[in-house]
Amino acid sequence: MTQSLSLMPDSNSDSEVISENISQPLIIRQLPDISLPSTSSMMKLQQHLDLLLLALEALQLGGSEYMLATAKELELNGIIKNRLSLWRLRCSNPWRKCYSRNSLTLLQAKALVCLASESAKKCNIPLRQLLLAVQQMKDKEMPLANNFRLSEYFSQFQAHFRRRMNPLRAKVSFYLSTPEELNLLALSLLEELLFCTGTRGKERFWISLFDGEVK
Amino acid sequence: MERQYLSPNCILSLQGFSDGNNSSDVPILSILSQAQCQIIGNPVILSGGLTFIQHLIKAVSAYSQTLLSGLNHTWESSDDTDYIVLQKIPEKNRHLLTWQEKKAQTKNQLQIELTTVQLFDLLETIDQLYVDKYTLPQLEDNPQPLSRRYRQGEISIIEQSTPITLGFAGLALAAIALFILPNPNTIKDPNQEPKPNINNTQTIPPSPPLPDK
Repeated sequence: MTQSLSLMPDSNSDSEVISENISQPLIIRQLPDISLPSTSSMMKLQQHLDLLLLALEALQLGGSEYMLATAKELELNGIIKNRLSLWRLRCSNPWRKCYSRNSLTLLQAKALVCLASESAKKCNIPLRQLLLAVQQMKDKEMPLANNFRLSEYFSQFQAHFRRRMNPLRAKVSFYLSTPEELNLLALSLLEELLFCTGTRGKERFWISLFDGEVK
Repeated sequence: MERQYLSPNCILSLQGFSDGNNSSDVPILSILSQAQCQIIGNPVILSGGLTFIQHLIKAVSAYSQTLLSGLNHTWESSDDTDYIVLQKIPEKNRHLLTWQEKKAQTKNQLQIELTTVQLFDLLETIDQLYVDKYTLPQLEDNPQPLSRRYRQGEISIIEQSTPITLGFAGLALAAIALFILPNPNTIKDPNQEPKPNINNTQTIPPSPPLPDK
């Protein structure tokens, strides 16, 4: 059965139509098919994926360019064509100012997970350095922001978050008003990114997205 | 034969031999003699046979899925030897891996404290073993998403309190607004107001008829 999805039309009124039964890239096929949950659960999933990609951008300057290059290497450019289409997919995050009320399809969600996982692998060294720094600072009972690399990461994460997220959302407002909590969120995403770099990382992360959401 | 799986913080070694039913060019290690698991820098080395490696894989896999989603993945075995369990040590920002010769007995026990990075590296060696089809291909580890019933009561405190907090805030604002409004105690009773004087009413004379055209 062919399913097609039309995304929001751009300013020239062209709409992108993606056919779900095109031969899927190999990397996509490594992720098992799972029945997509309800709209509200999908909103959480979409929010989670966008924040994970945001963490990647905060981890590495120019992260979004690297992500697009990675999408092309993974032959995901049928789904993530260019910067605009990636942005549209990420606007499925209900916390965003540009929230589009679209839900990701199974194929699009898988593509974003693969993209996050493979991009994280490329950032393996700075990722591990940051997590090592977290451990060292906590062992010495020193504030994390005293570490230069961590401080940079937190700043970048906060800047992206503040610029993109809608402050009228209760949760967004909470994070914007309590930077310590926002930093904790940024750290938890770093740990997830580490797990995404594993041999079965993207499969594990994919399954974890649906914990508590399947029948 | 020996197979080793390496990550920056962990070495997983397996020794064994083939059962002879081998149609591939690469010999398949299908019978395990011994497996050893070492976290680099830690003197404790965990070792055992097939049950040990099966339980290690299940325990680390389930614990890792739990860390990723926050929902508890469990695993069961009918064999209570080589009992392995992992738990958080929140005050140390670490994880504790415990091996016991028997589930119900703590006297023969080994424990290893792991940082999150070390735990991940342990998981990585286990996953490398799992995807190696030439070593113990019979090993099973298929994490599945947990069903909805595991989610009851797992909603974070922030998510639970936000609607209540907003509700209270709204109620407080409404109460303040109503408090500020003056009490309407100067409205006159309409029954006591003077009635309009009907003698002053003038009758409007009828308008003259329009002439016929």
